[in-house]
Amino acid sequence: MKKIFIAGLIATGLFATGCNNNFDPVITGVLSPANFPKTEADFELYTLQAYKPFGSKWGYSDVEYQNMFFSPEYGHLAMFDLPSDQMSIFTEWGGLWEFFSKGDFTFLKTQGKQSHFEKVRYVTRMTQVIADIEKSAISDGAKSKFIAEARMGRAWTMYYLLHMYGPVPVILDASKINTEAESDLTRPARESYVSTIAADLRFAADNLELSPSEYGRFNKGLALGMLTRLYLNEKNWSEAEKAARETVALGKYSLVSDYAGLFREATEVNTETIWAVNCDPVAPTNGEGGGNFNAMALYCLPGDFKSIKLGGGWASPSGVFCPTWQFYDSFDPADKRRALLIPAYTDNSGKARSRANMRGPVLRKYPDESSPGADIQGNDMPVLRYADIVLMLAEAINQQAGPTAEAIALVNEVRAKHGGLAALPAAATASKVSLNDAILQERGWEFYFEGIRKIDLVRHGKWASALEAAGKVTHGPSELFPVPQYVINVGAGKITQTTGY
Amino acid sequence: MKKKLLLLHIFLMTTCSLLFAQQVVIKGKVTDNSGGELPGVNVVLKGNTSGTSTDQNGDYSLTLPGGPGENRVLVFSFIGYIKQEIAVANQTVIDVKLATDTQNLDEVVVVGYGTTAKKNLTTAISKVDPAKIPTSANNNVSELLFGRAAGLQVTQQSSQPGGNISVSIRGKGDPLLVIDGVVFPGSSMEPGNGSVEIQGVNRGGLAGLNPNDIESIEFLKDASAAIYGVSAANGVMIITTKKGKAGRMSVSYDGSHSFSRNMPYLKPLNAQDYMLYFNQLSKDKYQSDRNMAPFGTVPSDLSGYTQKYTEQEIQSAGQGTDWLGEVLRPGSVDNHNISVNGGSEKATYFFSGNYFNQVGSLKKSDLTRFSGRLNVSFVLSKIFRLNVNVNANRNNYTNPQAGWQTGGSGTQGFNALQAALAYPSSVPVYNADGGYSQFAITGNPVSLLDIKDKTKAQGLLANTSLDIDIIPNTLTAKLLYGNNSEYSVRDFYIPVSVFWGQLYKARASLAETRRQNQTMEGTVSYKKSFGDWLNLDVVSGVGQYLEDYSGFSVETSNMQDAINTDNLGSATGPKVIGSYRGVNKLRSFFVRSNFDFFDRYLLSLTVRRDGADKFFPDNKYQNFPSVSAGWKINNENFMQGIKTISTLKLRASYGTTGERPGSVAYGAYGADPNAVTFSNGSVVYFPYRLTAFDNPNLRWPITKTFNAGLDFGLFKERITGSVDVFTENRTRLLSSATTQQLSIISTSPINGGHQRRKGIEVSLNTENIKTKDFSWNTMLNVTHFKNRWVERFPNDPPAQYGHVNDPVGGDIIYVYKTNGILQAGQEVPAWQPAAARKPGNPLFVDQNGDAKLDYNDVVSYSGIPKVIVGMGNNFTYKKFDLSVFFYGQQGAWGNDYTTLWGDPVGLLSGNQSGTERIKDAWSTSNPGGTLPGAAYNEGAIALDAGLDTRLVKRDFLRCRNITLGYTFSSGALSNYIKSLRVFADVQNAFILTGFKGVDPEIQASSIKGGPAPYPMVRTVSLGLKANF
Repeated sequence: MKKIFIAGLIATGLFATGCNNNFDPVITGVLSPANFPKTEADFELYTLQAYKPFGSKWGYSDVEYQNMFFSPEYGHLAMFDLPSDQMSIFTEWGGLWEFFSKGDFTFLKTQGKQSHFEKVRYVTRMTQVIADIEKSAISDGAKSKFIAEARMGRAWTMYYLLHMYGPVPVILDASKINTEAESDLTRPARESYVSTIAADLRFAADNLELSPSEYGRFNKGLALGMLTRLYLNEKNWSEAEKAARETVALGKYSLVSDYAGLFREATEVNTETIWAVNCDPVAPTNGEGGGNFNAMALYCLPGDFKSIKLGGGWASPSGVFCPTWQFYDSFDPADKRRALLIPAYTDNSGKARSRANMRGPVLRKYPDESSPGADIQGNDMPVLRYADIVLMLAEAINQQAGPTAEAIALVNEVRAKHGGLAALPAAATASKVSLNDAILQERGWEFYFEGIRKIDLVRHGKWASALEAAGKVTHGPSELFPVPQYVINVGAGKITQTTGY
Repeated sequence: MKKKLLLLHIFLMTTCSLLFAQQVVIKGKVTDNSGGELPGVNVVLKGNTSGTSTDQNGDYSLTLPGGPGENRVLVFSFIGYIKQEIAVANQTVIDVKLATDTQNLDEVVVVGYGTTAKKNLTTAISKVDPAKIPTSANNNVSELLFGRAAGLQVTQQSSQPGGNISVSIRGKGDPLLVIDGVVFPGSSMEPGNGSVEIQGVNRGGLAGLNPNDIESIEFLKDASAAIYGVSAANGVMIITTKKGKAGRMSVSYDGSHSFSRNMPYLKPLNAQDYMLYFNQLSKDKYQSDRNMAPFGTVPSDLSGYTQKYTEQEIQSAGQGTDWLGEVLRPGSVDNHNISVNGGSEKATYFFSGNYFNQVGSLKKSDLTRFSGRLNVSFVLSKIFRLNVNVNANRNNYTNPQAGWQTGGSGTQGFNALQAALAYPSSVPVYNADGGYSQFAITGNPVSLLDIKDKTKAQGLLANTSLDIDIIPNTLTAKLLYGNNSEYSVRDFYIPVSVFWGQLYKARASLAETRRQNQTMEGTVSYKKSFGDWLNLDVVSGVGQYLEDYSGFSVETSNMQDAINTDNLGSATGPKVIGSYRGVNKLRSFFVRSNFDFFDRYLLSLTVRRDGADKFFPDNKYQNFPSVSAGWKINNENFMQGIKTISTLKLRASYGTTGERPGSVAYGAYGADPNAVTFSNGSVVYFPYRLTAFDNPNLRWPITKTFNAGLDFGLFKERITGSVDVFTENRTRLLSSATTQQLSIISTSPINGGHQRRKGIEVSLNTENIKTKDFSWNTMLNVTHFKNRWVERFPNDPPAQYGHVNDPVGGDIIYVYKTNGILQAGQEVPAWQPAAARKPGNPLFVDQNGDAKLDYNDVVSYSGIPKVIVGMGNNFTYKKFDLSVFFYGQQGAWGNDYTTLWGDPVGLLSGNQSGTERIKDAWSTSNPGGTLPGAAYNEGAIALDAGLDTRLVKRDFLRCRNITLGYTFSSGALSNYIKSLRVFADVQNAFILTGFKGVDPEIQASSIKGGPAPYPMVRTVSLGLKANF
């Protein structure tokens, strides 16, 4: 009978649990909205997602997969340096490398959800983060600091999207989140889009720290510098000048005299670099759980180029990023900045390589000196330097008042400090136009391979002509990217394709 | 709907309870042909509903109304035996011998919470009897299923030892798997090997189950699945293991040795051809890159070009290294099974042990399995019977260095088999100094075999059930608890001596996964015959199903080879640790009533109520009703004169099933896997972000299936068969679907979309010849289905070239058509893409004639077969038996990505050799070439759909088994052995196909460089089966 009793017990148990009308889910490994985010520490972790796109890893999992703005593939160098007059066409790997280097973005029409366009979701996310912080009960000081970081991330993302696709639809009002408004893909007017970025950057500039204790966090100088860039590209010269002067007035930054040192690991923290991608030479190159890394040596050195730590890069016969001889020749031979372009070397098999059998000079802006450095390097990648502020200020002044002594002196300061060069020749300073052209050229020598060139050419209205002059006659119909077709498909006719596609 | 069904239930049940007076007692014993006692035989007075059934000893006692001598007839019936009618007359003791029913349609079919005679089925259920299938070289149940039943789609995705074989019912995806009443996870539980992209494992599930232990496999294909507790939208696969039979102990041994040889594989270029074609194509590439004639307008100038290989080098190169031969080998299988079975009336037992040892046909790949089973049953008392089934198993794998990488690492990440295809034959295995040679950035194929990649998997499946006879053979109950625990550990190590990923570096990963599935069920069933006019069978129950899983992994680098993963603490590299855990709970309530009126009209009603913990309270539960009916036409009076037709049954079913929700309706904040780091990596944060919104409206998806079928038997069941047609509507699908374009979260669980699957299946069994010495049977089954969208998910419109109602997912392939190769000097069509305008590029077809190439020119092909077929022939001649079994498919297309090895762009990268397909590439030296040449770079074309250059038909007919056996049953031997059969079997004897890749069934992904799937093997087995 004991057995039967036990059996009966099991049966009762079964039926009792079975009849219980509700049962709670067991949800593991995540936090519940009921108790997160609440504290200041919670909000710090919550706000840190603002930094996600601003690294140099291969990418991160979101949507399908997202490249970062400074990733080797689809990063700022691939998007804004390859499709410029300074880099050779690279066909060896086909695909994005070939098309970017040719300046033809038509292929992006069929790009899937790896497209940077998906970062419109990041904008919505930041809008939500900002609203959540505002609603929270944390201290006002923490609130403004966190909101400043979120708005910096949102503004910078919108800035890059503007230079890829033109104005894109964004959700800036948290009350529209999770409503039909998220399906309205109407492009906003450029003015309102730009003013949103400006307002975000203004808030960030007013509330970010000048020198955050954790190197690599957004800072005041970055916000002001990006505000300068924004206004300059919008040709709002007076506001650009104001923002640039405000950056100068921070008093923190000055030009270094060792140009090459800006890109070396040992001297990556200096008085000039306002914000750089902080890189870790021992970061894992797989997964996304580690730090940022600098893989550019692998993309720049030819396969047979024995360098300091590397026995060669990944591409042959030239690096993926291979400047043209034309660009090399445009330098004053005395220009110290040219020294980072290697015109001749002896390859791994002992064969002499020179102009006669090289596509272009070897770009060695980031020397592979890190330890271990067998593949990736730890050289931080400057994204905003004080030299840029100086030259932008010069450009903004010249655009408004012509070649003033101040404007010319600013350009000359960069030439002298970095290039070891004499002042601009008289012809270059003769008129507003000639100084404007000289500034563009100076910027080319100063900022090559820093993710700026295409944007500069576009601002000067010279993108197409400069590419053609460099032999890139098959460039695409527009300096902007096409909106991916899948977006057009879900856009219900509201989103307009970029002109030209 | 649900209420009406319940009312009908109650009405039918109450009207059946009738009472009768009692007067005369008849007793007796019912036995089978061999004298064995038969318990549970129904004994009923003809024309009445009163009856009884035999007890454990086969004895019965029945009290009849009225006095003796009346003209009364007793009907003895038992499933699987021929019904007997005996006139009572003046007898008071009637002993009966029931003959087994050999008629096919009387076989017993497991239907979920019960069994039924096949002739009384109202739904589409296929049964596979493993006893009829050669198991020698097979370690997995799935391997027995190729082509064996109508409606099954079984595809060998990987031929590695323990490789994945996908089993689906009507193309629906993994069915719910139930073993002896316990829900069993159908997928494998393979731990990862960290971030190393070598990932040769494509493992199938069910690895712990010994095919020799299986009694029967049933597939519930239509509304029959609706009874099954927990989600059964993909149908149910029910596996029943062998049980002990009362009687003298019987011991059987089943052993075999198999020899396997690789079927024809990809053919690499030999040394001479490699050099020759490299030179030819390099010259073209040189000219093409410089726009020289004939590729461009610049006059050809080869002064700057030097041939890599001189004429003399080419002439003296010869065949070179046989790299495939260096990594492939003949394989073998040793398979030994022993089982013991017997028992008394109080207890029965079945024990079995299995040792399976497979040496793979790729070096360093193998599988060793040990498994044991114990199925026992005890009669505790008159009322209680306790059943215990235990299966313990351990599988040890050495994972193959084959397949393809999980990422885009290309040639540097190749495994040994890929490397064997990538290494030019002109490279020797060893350098002059005795060390391994090295080509480009790929590790030496032979050295890559030193990588350790082992998986150990163990499982314990235990289930205990208590049968309670409340009213013998009428009202019974069952309590069941089943627990399936599995554990897997993967041990991966790249020694420092192996060059891989461009590095000599010790890299290790150790990962383990665990999972447990629990089934708790209580069922009550009521069976009663009411005279001749009604047989009632009702079952009702509740069940709770728990699943929990967890995993843990460590990945690190830089350690001593001799220690490797034995002490990861000694590694000096960074240690990456991962872990996870999850729990799912499901509950079900169910009831089914089967009514059999006058042995002619069958009706079955079921209602199930399923609950899932992952939904919000208001939506946790969903009702899933079904109804099915059958009409046994051959039992109608008007059919009695028609002798040709021995069986004719029309049946139809309509039912709903749900799908186990993989999504959670609750919002969450999760740690971002992407680290945000500052101060050069010394400050690490994992931000927390919203990963899911609360979704209180999320509900169970509903699948509505309609099935109509006809079962027939002709010429005294010499020809039997079934035809089924079905339509299935999957509505409010629950899937993680794309959200609105500006939403924070890109995909979210959504109820949406609607898919419709339609199909037809036919099965036929014929007894072609049956004489005393010779017999010949044929079985044939044919399956066809198609699954289309009716309505798409809201934010996932079809691509521009697609249509709303196109087939679902991979069932359709969209491509731009090409037609031949652009020749030198040929006028380039206006619509040719910019990157494909040089000679040697494929000529695109402007399908609609508008002189533009855009989405309007895209055409589509079926990615699934139009027809799946299985066909077997069995012959016996005296003591010889021969069976020949084929299966195949027709009408499916697919991209053969092993053709990547034949692309000039790969060869010309300088990083890999290629296959003989390169010989067909167009070049200035081979203007007759039919495949794209050096100037073609697929990656540069950038169209919105693929090209048809890799598209091939995947039609095939494979001879799966040819088995010849001989049974000894007389002579001196029989003093020691009850029976002995020796046999020889050829598995995968041959394949009829136009497919030129590795195999039309085996998967090969599109991967940078090219995939190297595990080769298909032909296996010859010799074995014997003895019963003692």
